[in-house]
Amino acid sequence: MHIPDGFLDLPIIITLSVVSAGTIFYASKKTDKYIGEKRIPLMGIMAAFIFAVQMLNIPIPGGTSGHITGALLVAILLGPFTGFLVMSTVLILQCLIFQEGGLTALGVNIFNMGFIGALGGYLIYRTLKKIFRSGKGKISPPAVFIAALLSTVLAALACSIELSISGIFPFKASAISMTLAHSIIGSIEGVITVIVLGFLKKVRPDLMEIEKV
Amino acid sequence: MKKLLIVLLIFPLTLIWGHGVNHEVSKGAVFIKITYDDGTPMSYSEVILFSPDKQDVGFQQGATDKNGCFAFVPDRVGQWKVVVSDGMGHGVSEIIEIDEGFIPRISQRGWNKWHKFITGISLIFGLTGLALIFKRKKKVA
Repeated sequence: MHIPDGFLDLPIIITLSVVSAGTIFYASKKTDKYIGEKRIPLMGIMAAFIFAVQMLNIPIPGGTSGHITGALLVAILLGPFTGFLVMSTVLILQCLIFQEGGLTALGVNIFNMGFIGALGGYLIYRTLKKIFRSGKGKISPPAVFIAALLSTVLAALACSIELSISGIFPFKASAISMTLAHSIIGSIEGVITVIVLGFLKKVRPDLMEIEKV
Repeated sequence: MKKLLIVLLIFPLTLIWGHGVNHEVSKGAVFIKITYDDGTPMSYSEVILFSPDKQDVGFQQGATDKNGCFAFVPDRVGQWKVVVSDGMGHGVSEIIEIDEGFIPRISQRGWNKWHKFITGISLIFGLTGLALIFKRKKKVA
């Protein structure tokens, strides 16, 4: 889902970069109030985890491959805006140092994986948690799984809309292939997120009680 | 008999209007190989090639083969642009410089997977350490 340079039209780049930059500014202000010596190392560890899992390519039938984003995991652990900031940091690092995703497409990639993945995913999770009537401080595995799946598919759909508006792919073909492939990736992301959260809840329940910003 | 003779004479003439197809096997194509960072080839991915003078209209459109390779024959010198997309949002947009002798300037980009992993993780932990130092300084001040 790391869109390279030369794929997107200027209006899409400008619009989504402004949205991403604005959200980074707001999220930084919001996170700064709660930042502490416990939150910073956890943000670093989560960034390292996301960087590592995004390097693992999952082969998809049809000859292509994809990777999980880790966005929902960090959003549930640290909160949606901190999650968004961690995702943005990883994406900026991947772009500037490793040429993964284009510099001109950076704002768009942050929008897809950070805004939709972390903020959107967390919103879906909170809504589902209420529907499943899961208590405060508890993790609802079905809500986590569905939120991971939906946020991954929505991010992929956004990516295919951006590519089709830019004339790279016809929308229908792109949306079908991206949605199908990312529903597999989203399911894997859901399972991994449930397992990691369950493990952390068992071994370090204090980490689950960090204020969600 | 006369009719048959006329038919036999006219029939070969109709071949003149048919399309003949010639072929030539040659070498000299430029090829680009696209792989993911773990070395897996980006197979059967869409490719659009733009010539140096027309960057808005595709000179050639096709797909990479099973091994992630795509070949083209440049007919002029300059900067050729190749856009490869796997349909999953991943891809590459690369400029290939073709010189006077129609030889591409060979470039290799990208990181070895383990170098990338170690560098990335080190940078993240380094930045985290810096953030902690600044936070402590703020507190002391």
